[in-house]
Amino acid sequence: MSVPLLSVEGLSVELSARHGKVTVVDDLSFSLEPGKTLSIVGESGSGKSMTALAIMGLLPTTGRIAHGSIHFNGQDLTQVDDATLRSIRGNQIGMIFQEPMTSLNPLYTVGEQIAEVLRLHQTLSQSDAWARAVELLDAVQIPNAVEKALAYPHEMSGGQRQRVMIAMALACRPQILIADEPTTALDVTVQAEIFELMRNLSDDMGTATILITHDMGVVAEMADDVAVMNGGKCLEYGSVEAVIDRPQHPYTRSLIASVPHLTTETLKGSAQDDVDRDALLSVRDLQVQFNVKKRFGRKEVFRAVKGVSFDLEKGKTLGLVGESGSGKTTTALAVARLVEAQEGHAVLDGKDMLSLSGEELRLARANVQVIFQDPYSSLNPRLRAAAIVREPMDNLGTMPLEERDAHVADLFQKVGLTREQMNLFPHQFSGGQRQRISIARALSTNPALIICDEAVSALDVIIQAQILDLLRDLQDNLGLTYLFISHDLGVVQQMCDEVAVMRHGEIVEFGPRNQIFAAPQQDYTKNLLAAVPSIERAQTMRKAQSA
Amino acid sequence: MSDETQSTPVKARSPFAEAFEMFTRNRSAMAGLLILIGVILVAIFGPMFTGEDPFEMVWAPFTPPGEEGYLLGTDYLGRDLMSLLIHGARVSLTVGLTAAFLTVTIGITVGALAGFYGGWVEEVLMRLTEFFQVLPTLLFSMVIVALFGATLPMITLAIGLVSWPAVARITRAEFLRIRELEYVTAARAGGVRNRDLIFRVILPNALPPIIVQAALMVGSAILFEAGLSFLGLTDPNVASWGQIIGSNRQYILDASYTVTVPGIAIFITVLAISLVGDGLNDALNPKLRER
Amino acid sequence: MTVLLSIANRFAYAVLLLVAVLVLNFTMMHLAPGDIADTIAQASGGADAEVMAQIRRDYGLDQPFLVQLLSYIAKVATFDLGYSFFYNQPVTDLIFEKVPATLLLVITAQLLALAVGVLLGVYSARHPRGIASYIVTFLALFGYAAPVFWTGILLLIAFSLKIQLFPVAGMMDASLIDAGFFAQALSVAHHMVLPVVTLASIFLALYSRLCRASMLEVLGSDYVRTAKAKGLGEREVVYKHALKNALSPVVTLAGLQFSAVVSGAVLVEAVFSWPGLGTLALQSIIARDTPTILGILFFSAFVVIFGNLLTDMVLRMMDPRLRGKA
Repeated sequence: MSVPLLSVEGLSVELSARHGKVTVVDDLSFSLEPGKTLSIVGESGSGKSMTALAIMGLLPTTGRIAHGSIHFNGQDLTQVDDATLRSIRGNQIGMIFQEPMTSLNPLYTVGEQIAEVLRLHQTLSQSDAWARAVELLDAVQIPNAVEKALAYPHEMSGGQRQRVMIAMALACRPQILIADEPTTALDVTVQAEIFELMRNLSDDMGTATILITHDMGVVAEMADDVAVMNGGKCLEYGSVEAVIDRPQHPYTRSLIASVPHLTTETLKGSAQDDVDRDALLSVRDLQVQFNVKKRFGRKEVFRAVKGVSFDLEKGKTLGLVGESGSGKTTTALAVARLVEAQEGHAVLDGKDMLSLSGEELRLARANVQVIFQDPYSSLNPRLRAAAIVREPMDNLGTMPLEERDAHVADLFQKVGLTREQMNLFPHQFSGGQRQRISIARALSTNPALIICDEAVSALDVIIQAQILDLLRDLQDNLGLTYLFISHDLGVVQQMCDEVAVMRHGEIVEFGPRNQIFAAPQQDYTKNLLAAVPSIERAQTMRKAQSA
Repeated sequence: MSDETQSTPVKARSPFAEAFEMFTRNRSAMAGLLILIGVILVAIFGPMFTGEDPFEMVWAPFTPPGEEGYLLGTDYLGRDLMSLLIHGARVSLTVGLTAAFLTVTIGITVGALAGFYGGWVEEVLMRLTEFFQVLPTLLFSMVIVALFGATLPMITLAIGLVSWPAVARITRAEFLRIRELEYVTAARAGGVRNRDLIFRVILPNALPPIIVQAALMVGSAILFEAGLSFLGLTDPNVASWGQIIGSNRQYILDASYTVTVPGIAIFITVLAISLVGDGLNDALNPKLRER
Repeated sequence: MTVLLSIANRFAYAVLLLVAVLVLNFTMMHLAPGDIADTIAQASGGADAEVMAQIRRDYGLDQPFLVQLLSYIAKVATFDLGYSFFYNQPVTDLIFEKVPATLLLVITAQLLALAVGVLLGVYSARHPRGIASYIVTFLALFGYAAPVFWTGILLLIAFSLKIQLFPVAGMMDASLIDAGFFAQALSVAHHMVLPVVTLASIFLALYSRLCRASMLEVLGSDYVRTAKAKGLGEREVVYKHALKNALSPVVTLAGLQFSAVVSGAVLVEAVFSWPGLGTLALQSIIARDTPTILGILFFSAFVVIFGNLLTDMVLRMMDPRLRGKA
């Protein structure tokens, strides 16, 4: 073992909150060797981001380091003065953040923002710094770097902005790069590109990386060493082989087990051998377009869905997958008439949803319900949980008045909530519990079709697994039909009988699950699958390397 | 960390109940509320003690406060300043509350319709709002009052007419924001009718900033009325705070209290309202509470 | 090119808005009981029916309403706002005579309020528990709750009557009518202090409070964290990265104050007998000098509309995200 570049000993971080102090990082120790990648993995609130901020000396004003030391290049960063810290930040330790959309200053060009750090630490002249900034933009593979240096952040895509952040963080060839969930806000193919870029650049410069993530797949593919955090404590720390292949702590095991594994193996229970071939939902040539802001009287039109057709059988789950902007959510919401389609048909249970209007449409809504993504905004904060679940029944009159209360109580039980919880308000529930209320609401009218719109995407992985289990159980017991929208291919593989891969408002590939995942036909599908970080693939590759 | 094992409170607490509790714990807001209640009580019951006619000449002009049994002294016509102030409180509060009510009613209607329906409805309504926003507020209401009669209802109407755009803008912004939230889409999916979407789903959730704005509107309307009556554009047969200041202004060298005291009345009343408004803002602002 | 087109677009809209204001004002005047003839007759102590009819013919009041309206709009389009019978002067001349005094008062007050407000806001945001925060809170409460005319009178009592530091009324010493520019300017500056401070008090409250809030928000933003992560010092972080962003809402708010500025000017001019547009407005309203009232209403709407346009352009210059948007 070589000498560690950074060594953290017994680090504790406290935040002062309204009701006293909260320890968000508790007695944490790890070390980072030159050129290596250490991954800190954990769910939200585990203290992983606070650890990064503590190293940078950027804790929020309410936070402070209570104990411990952070040794870097022979200095204890918890003891040095501000000026020393500033000379290290951005120079010897660079950092990139989760939200590329908000992490760049909107009022300065990206070139200026990169040049600024060079002028500061390398005392380059204005023009030299700018020339170097353009070189760096080129190095992070931004096309037309000379021109793009003059662009403002809002003129770039999310992936490009994160590249700019990387260029900025690596501008002074730091010894350490701290990346705090750098790809969580990005699409999976962009994530793969960003990771490859980070790997190449830090290899070139010999930079060591601290990668903070919630994604075990990312850990398996990127890390040399892993620290698993939960509730501010480090539960397990060791080499990636040790932690991923032979996890010791039960929490690590459940974390790994909860990851929806993407696999090329054939899974049981496919759609092929079913008798009932009648489609419950039959969508034909669906087209949706939005009027983008009018400019000088001229309308600009964005075509979100361009002629989509598919069938969905009763009791089955169809997955719509794709990256952001692929039109998957728009397609589903158009079927539910929550977004207006310009053309096409969506025949549900013999009725074309798209031809209905007025009271007829309102009543037909009983037949298709939606479970939404964001557990925090999908429930009306002014209503009690029972009233939320009851609302569709009352509005649509799908059940005699005297039976409704009993039905609500029954639904609460079905989704795993208690009778006592019926009277509570949404803000009194956790994220997972709120998703359960959403599910109960969707079930209340006995709909023929349930649309799950990224229904588990906002949840931590362990709770996500519980909610997926619940959805599957309900389907088995009640014979539900799901239109399942997700960007997460692992989840889709677990949940769906058939899969439609969407891109730019069109279905690129459609087929039974096993065909899509084991033998994809289209290049786009193959790229998408290859981009997903996978624990298994990483394990296989490591074994191949060591053999 | 498991979903199931997480303890859940059993007692239901509505967001409004939490806001109420937070408000009662806010000391300056409660002080403001107490002052405001005091002013209201004085306005209602005060005239019982000082007589019904504030314009009655009771003693020599410019009797200093405390002398001859007149706690606040007399003005340039020998009228009891205390009695004038108490009657002025009635005018200020009535005009303030009515004008604010008018403002909020127009503002919510315009803002809600514009924010909910969008499209040409929004276009038309927001152009109308913009139009009323470019009218120079005080000048315009001065003209209305001067031309159509200096009566309290006309003053109230004039204030309401020039003040509603602010409420309309806030309401619209809230509607635009809430309209996109998933629980509104869920309500639509649950068959909720448009009318109920506006009034029972979106409006209750849009209310917090509107309530705060409404509280501030009461204060602004009181100041507005005071300004108009200071300039002499008021019903000459009704005592009001601004008018007392305006009519005694020439005599500040001899009796500055005839100007400072009514000003203090306005100041304290509006300050109390503003403290209540700030308290409501803190209590209703979800950012300050845990989600 | 698109920028020019969008500016032209907004310009056209502003003109349309102005015409709408004109129509509303004129209609309102028309609907009001009594007309110019009544007012003139009243002022001159009664007139017989024939004279009244003559006056109505002179002012075109015998024409149908629509004709009167259109001819008024046509006249305004040539910058002719009519003739004031009360002052015996064209309204346009009257307004332009009074505008400089009001502009001087208003612009100085705004600049003062903005400068002090932003300084206080930034300082108190950097020291959230310091004395400046209390000053901002106090200013915000006082500036909102104190009627501006009362603040003016209090200042008058304190600094003109009790301590005789500043003059009680007017814009310049009458004795200096033939004096040189410098002496006159000095006298005007001396007369200006109290009115400017009074008028600024309302806006100072607004700006310091908003600037503090906006600065606090920006200081907690991701890009400020990025700036710190680069190793920039406190000074660059605050002034280069944070303040520039925090100013946008302050400028927006300032742009919305043009109407309030006009209102404030009317009251402050009344208190300090400042010979500006506000005083003219009050006098003409009391005298029911319809052409002057209409002229001032029109001019004020003009100031508000083009003030908004100007604010818009300043915001575009400050924020690249707004450029290129219609």
